[in-house]
Amino acid sequence: MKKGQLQIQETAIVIFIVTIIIAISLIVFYRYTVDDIKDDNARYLDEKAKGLTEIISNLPELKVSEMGIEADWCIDEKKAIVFNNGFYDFGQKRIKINGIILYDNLNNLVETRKFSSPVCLLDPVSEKKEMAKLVVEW
Amino acid sequence: MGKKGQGMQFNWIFVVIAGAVLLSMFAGFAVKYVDLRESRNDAEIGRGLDHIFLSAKSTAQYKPFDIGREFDINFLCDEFVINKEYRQEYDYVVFGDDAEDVDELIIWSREFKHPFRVDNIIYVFDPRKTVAVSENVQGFVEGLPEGIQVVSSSQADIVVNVNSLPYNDLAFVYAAMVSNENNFECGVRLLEDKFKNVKAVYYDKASSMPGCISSYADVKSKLDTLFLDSNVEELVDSNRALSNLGCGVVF
Repeated sequence: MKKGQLQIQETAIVIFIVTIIIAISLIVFYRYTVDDIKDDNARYLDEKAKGLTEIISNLPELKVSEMGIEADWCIDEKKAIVFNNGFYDFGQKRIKINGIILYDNLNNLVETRKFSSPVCLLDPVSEKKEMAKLVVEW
Repeated sequence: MGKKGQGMQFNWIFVVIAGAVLLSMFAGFAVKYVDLRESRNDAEIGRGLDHIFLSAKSTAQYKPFDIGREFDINFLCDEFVINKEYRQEYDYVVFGDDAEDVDELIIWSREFKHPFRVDNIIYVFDPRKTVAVSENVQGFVEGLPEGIQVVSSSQADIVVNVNSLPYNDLAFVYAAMVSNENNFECGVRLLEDKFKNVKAVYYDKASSMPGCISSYADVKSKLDTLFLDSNVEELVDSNRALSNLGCGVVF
């Protein structure tokens, strides 16, 4: 093989290796960015599931109301018992308060996560208040 | 051409091809990366809006949304779309209209009661637009958040025809003001369903309350005939009567 041809082959190999290294770096960087976006999405869904406790405890279908005035952070036990859990679509979750299931659509999931928030539960008949746990599982 | 000349020519062709391959690889990556960044930005805007909507749903409030970059927003029935790419679903009542190249939105929520609270309705408005109502509506201007310009009908971008609304309530005047036809119809339908659901909860609660049978039956019969366009005074009186009798109120 002549010296000129050898030089060209060397250059070709160098360029090929450099190209492969650059391509691998770009793919790794791209995949890292995609994974980062997926993590962001997972964090967002977690935050949203946790935020559900605030939304649930503020629903007019659950909140204590006396003469049209609502009490902060208190859930009406009677309303919780008759709560129509088919009206809302909270996705694949189970939501309960002191054993009362408000929403249950947690099927075929092996691993679940849980978040609970303290709320006040009022029995409108005896007017007795107690601290309860509003639990969201997803 | 001598052998040396041919070698030089081959060298140049090789360099050009290798350069083109590298350049196209970088260009391809740049395009993909820009797409990814844009999708991420769209998702950030969508989630930011969703977060504001959810907090506005919990408590009636006013919040400006200003992110310092322009975007398009389209409101459909149960989702909004950012830059025609990112779709954010929601299952709450939001009234809004499509807007292009907007960098600021006015978002506020308002309790809707009839006579009990049905929901906090969320309104999304493009502050570049001016509004007017076809006739004087009590409390209309006072109920608007800052930054919305009310002008005369002849100068306004949006004129709300108060007589064409399905229900006589300020909530629907604002809804018609901020939304497009499709979103308005959809939001009203969702609100009607929500009203039926809340009413059903109160009906069932009245059924489960012990004692004061005739008083609870009275509330139940009034709830039965309660619609969004009916008078609420008799129901409020029946509920108050429960309190006067020492029985627990229904709402």
